[in-house]
Amino acid sequence: MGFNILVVDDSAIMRKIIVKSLRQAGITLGEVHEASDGVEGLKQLSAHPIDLVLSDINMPNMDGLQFLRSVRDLKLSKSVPIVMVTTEAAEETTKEALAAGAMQCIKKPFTPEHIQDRLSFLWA
Amino acid sequence: MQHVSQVIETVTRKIFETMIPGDLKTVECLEDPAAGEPMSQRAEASSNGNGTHHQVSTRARWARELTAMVGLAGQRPGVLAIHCPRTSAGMMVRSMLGELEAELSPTELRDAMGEIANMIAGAVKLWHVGEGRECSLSIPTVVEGQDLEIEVLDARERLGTEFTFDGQPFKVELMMAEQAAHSQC
Repeated sequence: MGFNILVVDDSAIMRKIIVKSLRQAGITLGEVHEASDGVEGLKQLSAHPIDLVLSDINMPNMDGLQFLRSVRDLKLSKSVPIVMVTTEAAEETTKEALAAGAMQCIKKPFTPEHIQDRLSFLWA
Repeated sequence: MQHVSQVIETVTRKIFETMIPGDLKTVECLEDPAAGEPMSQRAEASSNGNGTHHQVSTRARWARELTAMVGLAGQRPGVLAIHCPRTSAGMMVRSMLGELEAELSPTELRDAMGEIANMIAGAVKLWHVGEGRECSLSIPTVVEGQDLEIEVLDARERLGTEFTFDGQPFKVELMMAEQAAHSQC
């Protein structure tokens, strides 16, 4: 059994790269769900059992920080680990994401090794 | 603190080293190549020996068929843009996906080029923040066509760095307006 994941990013190419990098990092994936913004991400999260969420920050409609806060307000999804994958790596943004309940932040550009390192909590 | 042109070159190199494997070279233009005209002749390139820079003559012309832009808002508003021919974009995106034979739709090409622009713009944002200026980024916009010009009103700085990726040209350009009058920095 692998991890059921949700990847939220407005770039379909980036979603594809993230999933590929997770596999290259040696993470066994179960179901892979995708969303192009926070609104769609919330719908996916309500519809499927998700073990891990990876979300961009800078997205249309509902950005990653709003999505993160909304997820934390959903009782059923309070504990799902959310990792931000973003170019918005300013210290302030990272702190804001962690304070809002993100487990980790991964800065773009990234390698499978960066992902493996940042997701080591999955095996803790 | 690095000058922003160094930031752009450094981060572009880092992005390619990390996610877009291939042969990236910085082009040192002997004169402003005035990119934007259809390429009529190939660059006359000569390596400087270390494999990272080469020179092109002013006869080098290439078509800006695709431009990916990210807007910067804040105390020094502007636009970060990548210009390239479609062939360059295709090579970069295939390398990014690790699928060198992939058939790419126009949508995929635009999407990926927008993401590359977004990653470079992210570094420019960090540079602004490091200089004590607020900065926020728009989502990427990609336009296709050769006869377009981008103008940032009141732009005081227009910095451009040309590269080749596996021999194919592209240019990263940053236009920044004067510090806004209401800024506190």
